[in-house]
Amino acid sequence: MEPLFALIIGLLVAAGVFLLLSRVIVRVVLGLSFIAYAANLAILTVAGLRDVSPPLLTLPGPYTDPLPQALILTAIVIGFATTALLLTVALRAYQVAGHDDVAAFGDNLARDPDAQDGSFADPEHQSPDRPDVEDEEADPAPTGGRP
Amino acid sequence: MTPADLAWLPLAPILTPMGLGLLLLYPWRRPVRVGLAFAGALLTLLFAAGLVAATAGGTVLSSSLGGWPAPFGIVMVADRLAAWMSLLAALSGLLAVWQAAADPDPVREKHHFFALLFFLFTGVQMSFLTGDLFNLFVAFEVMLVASYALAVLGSTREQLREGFRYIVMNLVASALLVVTCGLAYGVLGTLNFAHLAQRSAELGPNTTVTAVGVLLLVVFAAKGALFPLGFWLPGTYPALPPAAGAFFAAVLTKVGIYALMRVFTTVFPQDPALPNTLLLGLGAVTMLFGAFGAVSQREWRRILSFTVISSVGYLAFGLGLGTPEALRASVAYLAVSVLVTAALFAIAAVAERAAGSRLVRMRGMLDFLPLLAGCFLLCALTVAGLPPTGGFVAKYALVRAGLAQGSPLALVAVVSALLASLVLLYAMLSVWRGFFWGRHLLTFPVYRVPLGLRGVAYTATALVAGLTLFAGPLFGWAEATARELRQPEGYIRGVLGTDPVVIPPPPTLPEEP
Repeated sequence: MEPLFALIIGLLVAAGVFLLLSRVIVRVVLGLSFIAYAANLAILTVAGLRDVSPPLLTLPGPYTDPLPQALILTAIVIGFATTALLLTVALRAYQVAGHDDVAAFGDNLARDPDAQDGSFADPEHQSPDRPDVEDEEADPAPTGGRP
Repeated sequence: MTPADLAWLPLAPILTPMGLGLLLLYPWRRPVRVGLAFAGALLTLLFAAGLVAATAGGTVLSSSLGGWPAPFGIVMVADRLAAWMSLLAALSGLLAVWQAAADPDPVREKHHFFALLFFLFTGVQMSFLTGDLFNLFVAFEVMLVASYALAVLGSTREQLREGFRYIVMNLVASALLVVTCGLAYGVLGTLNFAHLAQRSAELGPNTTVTAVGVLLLVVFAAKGALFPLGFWLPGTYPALPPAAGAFFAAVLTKVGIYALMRVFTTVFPQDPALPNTLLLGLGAVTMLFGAFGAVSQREWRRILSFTVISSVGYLAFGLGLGTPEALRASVAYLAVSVLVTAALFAIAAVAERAAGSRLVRMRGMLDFLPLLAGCFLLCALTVAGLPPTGGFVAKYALVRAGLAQGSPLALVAVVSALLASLVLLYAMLSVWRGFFWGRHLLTFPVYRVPLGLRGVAYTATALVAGLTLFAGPLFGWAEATARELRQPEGYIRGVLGTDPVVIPPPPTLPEEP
C-alpha cells in the first residue's frame, strides 16, 4: 500500500510544481492545491496505513491513530482559507490588469518608483468589470467611523 | 507564586490581541478604534513583560489548553527565550500601532487595517509561545494569513505583485512544514516540543531525526529569509503601508529565527553537525547578500529591507556556531536587531513623508530634521556594528565567539561578517550623504511631518540607545537564556513534569450487557 501512496504523492507534487512554474495565475493556485493534497496524503501515509477499525469505541479494536486525521483536517481547513485568499488576490489582479498572466502584476526589474505603477491601481475598484463601484454608490451611508 | 498559579499567563499575550482584533472588526469611529488599538497593544506589552518577570528565575510556565495534560493536548509554554521574544514583539507592535495611529489611511482603515494588525500580533505571539510543532504551523498560518491580507490591502499594483509572490512562497513553505510535522510524528510519535526532545534524546543521534531537522531548517529559512529563499523580502516590505512594514521587518523574519533556535537547541540538539554547517554557510552568504543588496538600492525602505536580510544572516551565523558564547551573542543581537529595524523603518516613514518621495535623493535634510538625522546616525551605526552602540557589542560578541570556535567554516563566516559590516556601513553612509548631508536644493519641497509620526522614530531610537546603555543587563539576560537553551531538561521538566510519560493502553471494548 505504501509504495502506491508514495507514487501518488510524488505525482501530485510533480504536477503541483509544474503548475506552480506556469505564468497563468490560476494555474499557480491549482498547483499549490495539488501540493497541499500531497502533504495531507503524506501525513496519512507516514503515520501508518493499517487495516483496522476507525477510532470509535463502539467498534471492536484495534483502532487506527486518530491524530494524523486531526492534523489533516486542520491542514485542509487552513489550506481552504489560504486558497480562498489567494484566489481573491488573483481576481483583483485580473480586475486591475484585465488578463490573468503573471505580467498582470507588472515588472519588478528596473522599475521607476515614481511611475504610475506605485500609485493606487484604483481608489475604489476601477476594474474592467467595475462591480464594486456600483455597490458603493448604492450604499450612500458607508460603514466605518471616518470623520 | 508557583508556576501553577501563573499557568494562565502564557495565554494572555495571545488572547489579548485576538480579542482586540475581533472588537476592532466593528466599524468604530476612528478615535475609538485608535484608543482600542493602543489599549490592546499596551495590555499585550504588559502581559509580555509579566511573562519576562515570571520566567526570569528560570521557571518554565506551561498552560494546557482544555486541561489536557502535556503530551496529549496542546500546551502554551513560556521559558526565557519565548518570553523575551514575546516582549520584543509586543514592543514592536506598540510602535506599529502608534505609527498607524499617527498616519491616517482612510481606505485601508475602512477595510480593517487595525483588526488585521492585531490578528498578526496574535499569530506572532502564538508562534513564540506555543509548545507544539503542529500548533507552531497553525500559529504561522494565523500570522501569515493576516500578513497576506495586510500585504495586498489597498491593491496597488505593486502590492498585488509583491503580495502574490510572498503568499506563494510562504504557502509552499507551509506545505513543507505540514509534511515535516507528519514525518516527525511518524518517526517520534509525538508533536509536543518537550516530548519530542525527550524521545529524540532517548533515540540518540539518528539520521532520520536529522533529516526531519534539516527539513525544518529549510522551512524556517524560507520564513526567516535566509539566502536562497529570501528573495521575496526586499520587494514585499517596501510595498506595505509604513506601519505594517515596520512590524513585518522587525518581527516576522525573527519568528523564523526563533523557530530555528527552538528546534536546534531544545528539540533536536543530538546531531548538530549538519544543521550547524548549513546554518553557518547560509548565514555567511546571507549577510553578504543583504549588505551588497543594501548598497545596490536607492529607495529608503528597499535599502532597509536588505539590512533586515543581513541581520538574519548574522543570527544564523551565531546559531550555527553552536557554542554557548555564540548562542548568548545571538540572543543579545536578536534584541538589537528587532529594535533597530523598528527604529529605522519609523525613521524611513518620516523621511519619505518629509521628502514626498521613496527615493533617497533629497540632500541637506539635516537643516530641517536635525533630531531625525541624529536618530538615523545612531541606528546606522548600530546596524553597521560600530562603537559606541549596542550593535557593536553584539557583533563583537558574535565575531569573538566565531574566532573561539575556530573551525575553517567559522573563520570564513567571521571574515564574511566583518566584510558585511563594512559594506553595510558604506550603504548607511551613502543614505546619510544622499539625504541628510549636503546643500538642500530649493526645487525639492520639504513637507511637514506630524509630531506623532516623528515621535515614533524618536522613541524607537531611544529604545535602541537604551540597549546600548544597558548592554550589561542585556548580556546577563542573554547568558541566562543561552544557559537555559543548552539544557533542555528544564524545559522538559517544566512541560511534562518529573514523572515519565505513560501512554495509556488502548481502551477495551465495553462488555456487552
